[in-house]
Amino acid sequence: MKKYIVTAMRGIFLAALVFLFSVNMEMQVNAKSVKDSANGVEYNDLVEMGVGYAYDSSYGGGATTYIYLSTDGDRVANVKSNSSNLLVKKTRESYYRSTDTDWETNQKTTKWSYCSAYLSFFAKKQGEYKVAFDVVKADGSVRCTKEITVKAIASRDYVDPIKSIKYAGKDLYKYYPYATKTSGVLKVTMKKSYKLVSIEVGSYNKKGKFVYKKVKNGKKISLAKKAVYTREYNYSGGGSKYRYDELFPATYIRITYQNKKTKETDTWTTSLYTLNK
Amino acid sequence: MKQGKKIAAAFLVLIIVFSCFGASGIEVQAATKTTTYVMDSKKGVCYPTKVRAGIQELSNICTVYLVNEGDYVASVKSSSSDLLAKVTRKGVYTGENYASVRLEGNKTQGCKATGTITYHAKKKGTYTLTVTIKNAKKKITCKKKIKVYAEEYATPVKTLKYAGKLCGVQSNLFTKKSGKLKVVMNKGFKLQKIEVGKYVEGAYKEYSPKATYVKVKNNKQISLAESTKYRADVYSYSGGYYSYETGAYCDYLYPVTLVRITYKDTKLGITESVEYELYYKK
Repeated sequence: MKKYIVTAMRGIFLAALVFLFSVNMEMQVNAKSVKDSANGVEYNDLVEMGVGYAYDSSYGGGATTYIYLSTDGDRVANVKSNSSNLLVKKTRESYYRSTDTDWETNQKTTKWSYCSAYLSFFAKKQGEYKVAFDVVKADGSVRCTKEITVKAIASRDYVDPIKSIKYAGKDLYKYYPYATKTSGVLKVTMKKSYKLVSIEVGSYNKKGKFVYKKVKNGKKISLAKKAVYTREYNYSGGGSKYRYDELFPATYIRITYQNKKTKETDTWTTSLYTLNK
Repeated sequence: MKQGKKIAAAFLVLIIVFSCFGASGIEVQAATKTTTYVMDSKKGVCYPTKVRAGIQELSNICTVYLVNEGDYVASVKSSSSDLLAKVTRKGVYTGENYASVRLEGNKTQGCKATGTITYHAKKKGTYTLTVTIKNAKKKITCKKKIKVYAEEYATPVKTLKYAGKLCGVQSNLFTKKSGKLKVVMNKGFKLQKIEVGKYVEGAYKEYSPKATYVKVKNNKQISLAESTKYRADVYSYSGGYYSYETGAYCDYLYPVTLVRITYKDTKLGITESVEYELYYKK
């Protein structure tokens, strides 16, 4: 009986840990997790962050990353940045060790243990930086060295790739807060260094499913007049069901474009609203 | 007679002032409203009596919570054509699942259904929404009124300046160890209290740091926290044949100073607070 409680407790605790870490992982815009099983290291080799702002949730930095070490006694050390414009510090170090006791021999065995670290970054300037850290064994020798790429982006440097989007002959913002005209020609003009790849128009259909449909530039589109859909969530012992009927049904306009120089493609989404009364 | 009224009023003000800042140290927390949500326990309806609407906002939302299973928000009627409103989401909670609503005194109430109303004000003004609630038999159980104050949307705190530098817009990193802290509120929000919080070095607490707050006056000198090692999360468990220990030691990149601003929303008559983070770079 007792053992069941212990197992349950362990489960709850582990779930809480996973939750804590997953919440923290979400802070990175584009974190790529890498696993080196031979050395027992798990980390993100790419971190994207903003410039000049610190957060309590990032332990005083502008972003954090999490490193997980599965070998007992291993620690993260010698954290270095390749630039004085990117500060880095090991701001949180944690450990977990569980022990099982044999009820006959009373012998204790380490069941599971790990050590983890958070690195916090603060970017003074926009740029791409490299951060290196060592995984050090309990005896002080270096097990391996890893590198993280940190991309610091200043939001004000964002360049709008679109020159104009016109619906029924007028710029989209003219329809703020909502459009009374429910159909019209959609015309997208890109800036010089960007190429238009495709235009998609998305809304909820009559079956309550959100769909994107490809449209041609300079052709007539119809805006959604209704947005009716349901969402259902089930938990053990209960659930919840929501029925939506929006006051301002949205029609999304998703534009895929290519940077002519870098050949990178990206998407840009905006929306137009109508009144459902 | 008039003089007497004035004296009485002044006396009353004095009593209020003393009860707020008196040596007793007891804050008038119970008397301060923190939400406009009320509960009609007879009908099982929890709803906000007053809400705000930002006229630049496309959608403002508020939710009506229903205690009884089968009840639902059937419709909403606006007092003016300048206030558009619609019941845009209906939620049903089954089994052991409830929607939770916070009432006065930090009480929470579990509910079996919700009705979310989306509203948009075309013009500034005060409007009324009338919400109709029906039961499983589609019979009207009651009607509730929600007052809507439509204004241009503004954040409660207009500006927060430390050592003459704005906080929160461009940066929250400061190089001055001490400086004046100045709070300017937007119209419709009255500053009540400013507290400066600093984390306790090496404080033990499970997965959250412990901060102590000190009340400060507006436009007065404060000093920023300097310590970075104020967070340690240690926890151990031992039960029969299984035990574990876990701990975390933190050393911040920059020390954080918390600024908690408590204000009164004069339109809604409720007291709320917002917290800012100031970082110190040596």
